[in-house]
Formats: sequence, C-alpha cells, structure tokens
Amino acid sequence: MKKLAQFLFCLSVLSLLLTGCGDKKASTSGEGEKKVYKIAMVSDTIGTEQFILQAYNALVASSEKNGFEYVSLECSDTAMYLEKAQAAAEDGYDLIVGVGWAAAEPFSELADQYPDTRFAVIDTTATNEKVTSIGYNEAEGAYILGVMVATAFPNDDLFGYVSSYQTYATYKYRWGFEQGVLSVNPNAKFMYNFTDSYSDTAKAYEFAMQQHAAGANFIMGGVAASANAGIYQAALEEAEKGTPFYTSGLSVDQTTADNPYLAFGLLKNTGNTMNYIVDNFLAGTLEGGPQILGVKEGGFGVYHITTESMNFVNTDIVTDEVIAAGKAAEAQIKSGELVLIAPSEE
Amino acid sequence: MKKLKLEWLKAFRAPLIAVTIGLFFGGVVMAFSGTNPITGIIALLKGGYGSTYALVTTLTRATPILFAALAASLAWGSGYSSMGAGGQMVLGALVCAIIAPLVPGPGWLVCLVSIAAAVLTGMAWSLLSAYISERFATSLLIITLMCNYLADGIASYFTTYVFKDPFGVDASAIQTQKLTVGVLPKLIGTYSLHTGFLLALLAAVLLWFVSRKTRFGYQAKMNGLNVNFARYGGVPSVKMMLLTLLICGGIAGLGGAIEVLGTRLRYVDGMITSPGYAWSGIIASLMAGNHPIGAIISSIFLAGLTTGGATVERQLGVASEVTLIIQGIITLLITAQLVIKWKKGEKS
Repeated sequence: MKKLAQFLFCLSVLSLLLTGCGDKKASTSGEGEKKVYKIAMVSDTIGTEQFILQAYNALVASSEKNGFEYVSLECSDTAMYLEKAQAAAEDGYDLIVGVGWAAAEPFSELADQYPDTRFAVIDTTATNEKVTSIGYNEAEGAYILGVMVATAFPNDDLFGYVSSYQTYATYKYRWGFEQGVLSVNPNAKFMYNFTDSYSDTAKAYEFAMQQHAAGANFIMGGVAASANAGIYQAALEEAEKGTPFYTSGLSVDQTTADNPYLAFGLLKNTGNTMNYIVDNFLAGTLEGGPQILGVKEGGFGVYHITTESMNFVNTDIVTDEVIAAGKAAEAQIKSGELVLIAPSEE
Repeated sequence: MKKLKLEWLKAFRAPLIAVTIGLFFGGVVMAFSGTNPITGIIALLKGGYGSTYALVTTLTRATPILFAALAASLAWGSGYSSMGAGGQMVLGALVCAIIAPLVPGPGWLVCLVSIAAAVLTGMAWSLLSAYISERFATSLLIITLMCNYLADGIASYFTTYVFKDPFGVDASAIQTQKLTVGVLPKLIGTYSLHTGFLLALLAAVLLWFVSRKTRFGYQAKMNGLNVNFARYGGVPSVKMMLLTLLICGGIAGLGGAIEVLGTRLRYVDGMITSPGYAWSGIIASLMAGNHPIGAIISSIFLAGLTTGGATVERQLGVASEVTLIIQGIITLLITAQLVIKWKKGEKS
C-alpha cells in the first residue's frame, strides 16, 4: 500500500512538471477596447470527418484573423447537443453554430431561452425563426455535374446513381443531375438505387456492380462521402477486368491518383458556410430563418469548376471540353439565367 | 450500531478507491494535453455538480442511468448476469413514443397508458431472453447482449420506415413524431430536469424496500448469494429467474418511457444506445454493490462525469474523452475486484 502511495505521488509530481512544459495559454483577449466575442461550434466528434473538419478549420482560421475566442464542442451522442449548447449559452457564448441534423431541435428550443445568444445550424433546418439555418441548393451543383458527365460520355444514354435514402434531400441531387444530363442529351435514361443507410459500403458496392452490368458507364456516388467507398472499389475492380466505369465524389474532394475512375466531385463547402455565418455575425448582419447557399454563394459546387482545381484530374475524362461545359453551366446559374429549385417529389 | 457503520464504510471503500484512481489517471491524461491536472479535476467536478445548471443537467442524465442501474442491481444482485437493460429500454422508449400520440384524452392518461405499454414491452423482451436462456441452457449474458442488438435494429427499422416523423423538416433526422401532450413536467424553470427523476428515486426506494422486507426480496438475495443454498432452502429457481428478470425488464422499459416523456419527447434513433445509458447503469450498479440506494449515488456520479467533461472541454480545451478514460478505469477496477471475489469464493 505504501509503495502504491509513493508511486502515485511520483506520478502526480511528474504530471505537474509536464504541465509546466505544455502550458500554453492563448492570450486572445484584445486590449479591452472592444468586446471579444466567444463562438462555439457544436458537432459530432470531428476526427477525420472532412465535412465537419472543413467548418472547424474555417472557424480556427477566422478566429486568428478576427480575434474572437472559439471552442469546439464534440458530441458522442445526440443528447449532448442540447447539453453542450445549453452549457455554452450559460457560459455567455455569443454565437453557437451547430453542424448536422441533431442540432436543429435543441437549438430551436435554446434560442427562446437565451435571447442574448445567436444560434445557427449548418446543413439542416431549425423550426425556430430565430435560428439561422443554412441549407444548400444541391440541385445547382448536381446540374453542373450532370452537364459535365453528359459531355464526357456523349455516346451513353444510361446513367446510374447510388444514393442513401429515398427522400427529398437526396431527390434534390437526383433532380439536378437529371436536368443537367438532359440539357445535353435529351434521350438520357437514369437508374437509381438506395442503400437505406449512410454507412453500408457493401450495399453501395453491389448496387454499383449491378448498375454497371446493366450498362451504365457513369454511376454517381451519392450515399455518403465515406460509404461511397463501395462504389469506388467497384470502379477499380471493374477497371481491372477491362470494363471500367466512372463515378463521382461527395461533399469533399475525394479524387486521388490511386483511383482515376473517381473522376468528378461535388462539394458541400462547410468551410465557406462557417465563414458566411461568422462574418455576418461579426458584421451584425446575421439573419435568422432558413437560408439556402448555392453555387453563387460558394456553399455548394463542383470541384474544378467552382474551385481552382481538385486533387487529381483524370484528363482522359475531364477534358477541356467537359470543363468548358461545366463552366458555362456555372455561369448560367451565377448570372441567374438558370434557376434550379427541385420541385417536391412526385 | 458501530458495526453497522463499519459495514457502510466498507461498502464505500472499494468504489471510492476506484473513483480516486480513475480521477488520478484522468488528471494524468489532462497533464499530457497541457492542462494542470488539479485545476482540470476541480473544473471537472465543478462542471459536473458545482452549479445549478451543472447539477440539473447531471440529474437529467442520471435518470435513465439510474433506471438501468436499478434493473441491473436486481438482476445481478439475484445472481443473473443480465446485460439486457439496454434493449428493454430501447423497445420501451420506442413503444412509448408510438403509443403516446395515439392515446386520446388528458395528459395524465397519455402518460399512464404509454408508460404501461413501455413497461409491458420491457417485460416481454426480458422474458424472451430469459426463456431462451432457460430453455436452451445458454448463457444469459450472451443472450441478453444479442437481444440488445436485435432491439436496436428493430427500433431503427420502425423509426426509419414505419413511424418516421411525418412533419420532419430535415429528412436525415430519423425520429418519430414529437409529443405535445403527456409530457412530464419540468422541475426547475426551463432547465431540463423533469419529474421522471423523482420517479427514478421512488423506484429505487421501492426496490430497496422489496429487497429488504419481502419474501421475494429475500429469496432473490439468497439466490444471488448462493444459488445452491437457495435451491436447497426451497426457492423455486426457474420461477424465481423468470420473475426477477420480468421485473428487471419492467424497470428498464419504464426507464425508456421516462426518457421519451421527459427529455426527447419522441424516439430518436440511437437515443438510448449512443449515450450508453444501459452500460453506465450496469457500472453504476456494480459500483454500488448492487444496492438500489447506493445506485442513486453512483448513477449521479457517473452522469456528472459526462457533464463535467463537457465543461472541461469548453473551458480548458481538454477533449471530453477524458471522462471515458476515467469511467473506463473505474469499470476496470470494479470488475477486477469482482473477479478477485469470485476467485476467492472458488478457492474456499
């Protein structure tokens, strides 16, 4: 027992010493002339989840530029969204940004209880008008992708798409993609399959294989950024057999030299969205209620069209002609010539 | 009198040592992430119990944990290593969330009917695993564990396809319709604490009374202490097992219903499993030596770690996973102690 006590004592001394080395107190408080804002981000555990990481990185960069305090509150279960957001509101945070659907309901509740705190949610819609809800016009990005794909595969009339759930949220992608393809090739037909899961990689793989067997040379990957891996794997395997098909990525830049068949990528820019919220908040122009960001606002887009480039460009498929077609579609949307709002699903 | 006091102290000694060592290692982890461990631990405890807001949040989180702990304390205390509280809570919560919007009439009636339905569901689910375990002479631990996965899958299916909220604005939210009547009233202003917590306390006292003052309680306890002795003394073992697990299932089902009626007001996919309420409940029960009143304290303690972890994360920038490490070490020490006890029992 005595030995154990000694050991524990040594450990605690050691830990105190270590603390001295690692202590780095950030002095973010400005010299008192203006209030230092406190901004919290509430999300699922970030880890390698690119979709949340983008928003987090944007928050960190903005904090360095604009000199506000920030904190990231990660939730390992959905009950924590209420607990952590409420705790932050109690602590006097000025703006609390939630990422993902689990934030919508608790934030709607809290916005009434804490009138001095601003609440915003990304990629979902809160019922309370006091909460800023940022959604995306996915149809615009999907349209550009459709135009590019139809240009890249001029001899094809059948296009595949593997998605998660059959809901309005995914319908916006389907509808936009269809419109884009049809604007180039009016005879095009489409094939859809739903994995009924955001994580079922194996099902995504099977559906991709089936759609390719049925004659689709392009299969849009729409399950989730990570579960799309099943489709990408199928593309690699089919290419090895000498019958390649091509596919597209979701939300973040997934193109890589390791898989040239993953030729396109849709972009849901949570980083830009975070900047949009924070900048408007700091300028005092952040409005409540639902707001839709599209191609024009930099919220949603297509890699290499609305962004400078992408990780890897397969120049056999993404030719100058394809890029030009994509750019033209982007210009049409940006100028307001083309208005894309997915109708409610029939 | 003095002897009784010593007994009490003894009961507290093991969990206190476990908690101290757990907190110590939590401090070490904090030190490695560049925070003074002493301020860190103080912030952790303060954030868990040190203010009205913190305490209220902790008690809210402790409510489902306490129900799971009570179910576990009865089962484990009677010698049945059931892990089934999780699945029973899930199905109880789901059934409660489905039934409640269908019941016409005033709030108390809605509450009563949906809670009754949840209790019955929990009982039925528990009985199923007890029956399988008894009939095919398989390990109850494994069967209940498997039944948990099954229950979660069933609940997931029904919330996704059959009872999905028709008024939902966000299609990716997998949840049932929100309740408007039959909601448990809040205790303090707009804070999240609800009357369900009082029900949990009441259940703990009731269970304690049953275990101390009734024949069933005595038989259950004897069964837990030494199953052969109990059988020799004329305790019918199969009937006893089914009855015990039936009550456990009812308590767990009730816990699920309370969570729906008190906090979420609907069933959200994963709302019971992802916070690990049932797991924490079993740990809480083991910490308290399967004593229902002790389980109140340990449940509140464990819930406070989670709430406090959030504060430490917010104020000091320490990852809230530190609380998982503390909880893990406590669990390890408590279960290690159980193993040692068993080994000792085997030898003698």
